[in-house]
This record gives sequence, C-alpha cells and structure tokens, in this order.
Amino acid sequence: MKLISKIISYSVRLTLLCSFAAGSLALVYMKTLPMIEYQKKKEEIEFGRKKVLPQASIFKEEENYVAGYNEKNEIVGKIITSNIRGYGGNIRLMVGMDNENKIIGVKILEQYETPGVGDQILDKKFLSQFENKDETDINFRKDGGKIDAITGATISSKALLKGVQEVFKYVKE
Amino acid sequence: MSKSNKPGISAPGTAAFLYGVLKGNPVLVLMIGLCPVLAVSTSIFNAVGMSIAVAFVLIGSNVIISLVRKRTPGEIRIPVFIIIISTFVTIVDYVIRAYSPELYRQLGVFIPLIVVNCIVIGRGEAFAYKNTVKLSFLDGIGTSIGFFIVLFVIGLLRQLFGKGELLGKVIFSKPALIMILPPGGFITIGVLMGILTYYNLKKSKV
Amino acid sequence: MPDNLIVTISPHIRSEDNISRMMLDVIIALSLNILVSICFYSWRAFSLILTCIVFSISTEVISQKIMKKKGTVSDFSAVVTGLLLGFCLPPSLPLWIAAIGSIFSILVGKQIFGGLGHNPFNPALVGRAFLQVSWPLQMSTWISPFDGITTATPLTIDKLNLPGVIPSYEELFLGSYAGSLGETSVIALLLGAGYLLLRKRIKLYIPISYIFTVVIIAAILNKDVLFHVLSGGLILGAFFMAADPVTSPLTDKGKLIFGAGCGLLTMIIRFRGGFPEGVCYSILIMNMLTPFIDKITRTKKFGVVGQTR
Repeated sequence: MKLISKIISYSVRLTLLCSFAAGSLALVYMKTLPMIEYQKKKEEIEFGRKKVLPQASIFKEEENYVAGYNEKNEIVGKIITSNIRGYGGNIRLMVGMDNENKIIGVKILEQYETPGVGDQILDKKFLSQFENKDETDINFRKDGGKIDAITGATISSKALLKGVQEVFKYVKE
Repeated sequence: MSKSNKPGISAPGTAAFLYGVLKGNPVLVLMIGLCPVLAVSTSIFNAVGMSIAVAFVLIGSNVIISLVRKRTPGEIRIPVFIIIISTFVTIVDYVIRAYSPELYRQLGVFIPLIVVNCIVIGRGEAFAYKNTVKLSFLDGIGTSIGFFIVLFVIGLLRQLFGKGELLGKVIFSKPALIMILPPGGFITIGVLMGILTYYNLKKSKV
Repeated sequence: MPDNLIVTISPHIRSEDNISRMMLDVIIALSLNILVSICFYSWRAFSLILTCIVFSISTEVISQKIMKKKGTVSDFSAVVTGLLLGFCLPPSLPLWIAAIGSIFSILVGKQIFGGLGHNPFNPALVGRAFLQVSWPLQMSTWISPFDGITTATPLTIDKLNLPGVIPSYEELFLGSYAGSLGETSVIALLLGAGYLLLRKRIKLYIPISYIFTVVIIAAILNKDVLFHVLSGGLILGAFFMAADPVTSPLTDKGKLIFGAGCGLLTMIIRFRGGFPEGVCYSILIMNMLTPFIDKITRTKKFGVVGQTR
C-alpha cells in the first residue's frame, strides 16, 4: 500500500541521515576529546586555586609553588601542592597560605583512602578546621593543636595533618 | 549593487548574498534570532564568537539541507532540518569547549540554543530547501555577515558605553551601566533598527 | 494607539497658548521649591537645575529640527521636564550625568514617541530611571543641606537600619534633611500644589488616592504613617508627576485606580523591593497601565449601552 511504502521510505531516509549525523559527531567527539579533558583538568585546578586562596584573582606559577596576586597586582599569598603517603596511596593536597603563612584553605586533589572511612578527609567539616590556622595550631588536640582527627580514620587524618605540616616545613626554607 | 569579479557568480548569486546583509538582515529587518543578540552582545569577544558559531551552523546546514532537498519529502523536512542543524551545533559546541573555554563559559547555554535560533531554521526552510547548493551557500554567507555586522556593532556600542573599555584600554571611567543590562540591549537594537529602516525607506523611495 | 483614544491634556487644547500657560503655572507653582532648594544646596541646586533645563530645551530644539517637526519649545514643557528631573536628582550628582539624563528624558521620554501628548511615560521619570540604572553609585550618594556632608536619606536609614538620625517631623516638613534636590520640602511643594489647584490645573483624584493608599498601607504594616507620607519623593511625585494628564487615565474613576496603584507599588518597593524609595518606578509602571485602566473604566461606563467603538 502506498502508506506502507511511504513509511518505509521515510524511515530509511531518516535512518540514513541520522547515521551520517551520528558518524560525523562521533568523529568530531573523538578528535576533541583529549583537548576537552585537558581543559576540564585545567579548570579544576583553577577552581581549586580559587578555593584555597580566594583573595587572589591572578595566579603565577613559580618554581615550586604558585603565587597569588590580587587585581592591584599585590601578592596576597601562595599555594603549595604537596604529596604525602596516606593509608591507601598517595594523597595530593593543595594548601593556600597568606603572606603571614597562615592557612587560608586546603583542598585535596588526589587520594586513595578507603571509601566511607578514610575518604572522610574530603569532608568539608574536616578540611575547614585547617582554615585560618598558624603553624602551632596544626596538631591534634591531644598534642596541643586545634585539629580533631576523624574517629575511625586515624591513619588518614594523621596523614593529612602531616601533609599540611610538611607544607609549613617547606615554606620555611 | 556591487559588481562581483568572481567567475560563476551571477546576479541571483549576488542578490542572495546581499539580501542577508541589508534588505533581509536577519536581526534588524526580519527581526529573527533576537534572543542571542540581546544576551550575547555585551562584549565584542562574545559577539564575534557567537557570530562565528552561528555562521558555521548556518552555512553548514544551508548547504546540507540544499544537498538533500530533492530527497527529503515535505512531511519529514522539519525533523531532517533539526537533525542536520543540531549535528552542526554539537560540533561547534565540542570545538568551542576544546579550544576556547573562555568563550564557552561566556556563551554558556546560548550555544545549544543555536539549534532553535530562528535564523538557522528560518533560512533553511525559506531558502535552502528550495534553492541550489551554491545559492544556499551564498545566502548562508550573506546572512551570517549581516548577523555578524549587527552583533559586532551592538557589542561594540554596549561594551564601549556600558563597560567603558576597549581592547583593554579604559575609555570611559564612569560608563553607563544600563548598556550592559537588558534595557541597554533593547535600546541599542531599537536605535539600529530605526536607522536601518530609515535607510531602507529612503532607498526604496529613490 | 486607536485614534479615538485621545491622549491629550485636558481641557482639550485648541491652540498652543493653553499648553504654555499651563506649563507656566507649573513653573510658578514650583518656584518656591526652587528657592528652597537653592537655600539648602546653594550653587549645586542652581547649576543642577540649570543644566537639566538647558539640556532639555536644547535636546527638544535639536531633535525637532532633525525630525523636521514644528518647534514646540515655546510651550515650556521641556522646561518643566528639566525642572522636575532636576528635582529628582541627588544634589551632588555630577553635571555631565544630569545632562545625559536630560537628553534621554526628552529624546526617549518624549520625542521618539511623537512629542508632547504622545508619550506613554512621564519623561522626567524616564530620565531618572535611566540614570538610576546607569550610574547607581552617583545616584545613591546624598548630601545634607547647608554643610554638604555625605549622608543617607531617611528612607535608606529606615530600610537598612543604618546608624543615623531620622529627621523630626518638622525637619521632614521643611525639607532640611538629605534627599533629592526638590523632593524634600513638603511645605514648599504643598503650597505649589495649592496654587495649581487654585488655577484648576490639576484634579485631586490622583494625589489624594495615592497618599491615602500609602497611609492605609503604612497603618496596616504598623509603620510611622506621617514619616512615610512626608519622606522621599511622595509629595512631589503625587502632585506633580503622577497627576501629569498625558500619562494618567482620563476618567475620574481611572485616576483613583491609578493613584491607588501608585501608592501600592510605592510601598511594595519601599518594603520589599531593592530600593529605599519607590515613587519613581511605581509611577512609571502605572503609566504603563494607563491605557489599560482607561479601557476598563471606559467600558464600565459605556458597556451597558452597547458598542463602544
């Protein structure tokens, strides 16, 4: 019947067109994928930098750290990325400090701690403890500092603490 | 009418090309595709980026639509248009996301919105579906140039008077903030429309 | 606009003399306020008002020349627009901003629509709204009279709970507090309004319903009624801008609705909106609704008889 042949004809044409479209899209996607991933990573880092040092709007990469400048081109602080051995692997963290070596923010870039246990170090509540602290404060309470460890995740908490302490050590040099 | 030196472009070609720029200017005369114009014309960077994206989609879809027009029955032409246009828009989206994250951030949701931009579907339906590939190509170029000129001028005006800076140099230290807000966009478009209407009227009288 | 909706000044104009005479009456009515504002802000008041008037007049002359229309500057309506705009502005406003505002008022507020009688919005308020959006910082900086110290207006102090003294009722009445050039002196404005009433230039429907609505809402919300009536641009707006015949409804019932709407919007903006003062925008919004109000009040009158057109 004429109707059935119409339906078949239209379906075939549309299918052909869609295949062409999907094919070309797949091609473009594959070609641009690496670049897009790169941009995403870059954005994450930018975002992370803004989070640990919000006063800065311009970041300049120095030898081993990143300097943060505000709009008037005055230096407002620095960002140090450090690595520390955690429970399940490497922990990479980003610490933002102002000019007086006081911590502004801490962000974890990479970690392999136990899900649900050790990865609680990613918790905002835990990390925000480090904000606005000097070197002397960066110790657990039982050691005279102001940081609370996470119950049940002692090793991960200790690792993170050590990571931040390492940053202070590095800054002193 | 300007004279074209390119071999093979006859009068209907030049006509198709010029139509999109002046008499049939999409934004100022046909008044289609206004939504992105208002949203994206707050800076020259956005304006130029958007017009290039639209140009790519418009020219590409015009050409493909024209290519398949003989084999596209009327009943299914709208889905066909949409498939073609959205493919081009997605390609543009990937490319911008990969190579200019800044532009991607600025244009934001208006990139996918190119799919429903009246200019693209409008020219596809009104012209590319009924004309040869060559003419559709020229129409696409002409309309894109018309769109670009308008978007560029508006972007220039709004950035100059609304932000007071051009190419990084501050020109007005206390700019009129209204220009980068929606009212400023509407006012600018209105003024440009008035000028072009006046010009077209005068031309037709002569 | 349909041709049988005649939006002109009532009484209906036969010749231009009536327009200019009416405008002159308005200028006379406001003259006391001019003196008072110069008293408060001396040279600033003078230069600001002068700038607004000069640029309003020039814009009207130049634009009418370009559009090849008959020059109507002699009807003084441009002068009134400039004057009213000047009154709405902060006394410390840079003159170049005031100039741009005046140009915008006349050009976009009046001429583009076809000149006097065709404008849907009050031109002075159009200019003020334009300036408010374009230069919000300069438009929100106020100074005290006499000493020129930067101060906040009473409504701002009230809305944002700023540390500061809200002027007494006497001060509000006389106008010796920080505010717009010509909005502060209630007594000067009321005397001027009285003059206009005597000369039968305005009808009381709009001002009364406007102020009455403000009173009622202030009372319901348990706020200081007198404070809200006397502060901000209410008196100036109610008597001189909302009552502008061109941009407000024709029928008396319409005028009452118009005034009430203005009052309602003013209070909404004052208490829930982003600005401490709502007179300017509320009048503009009601201007927008005027044709609609005209339509519904007209139909209510003639609907029974049958076709209105």
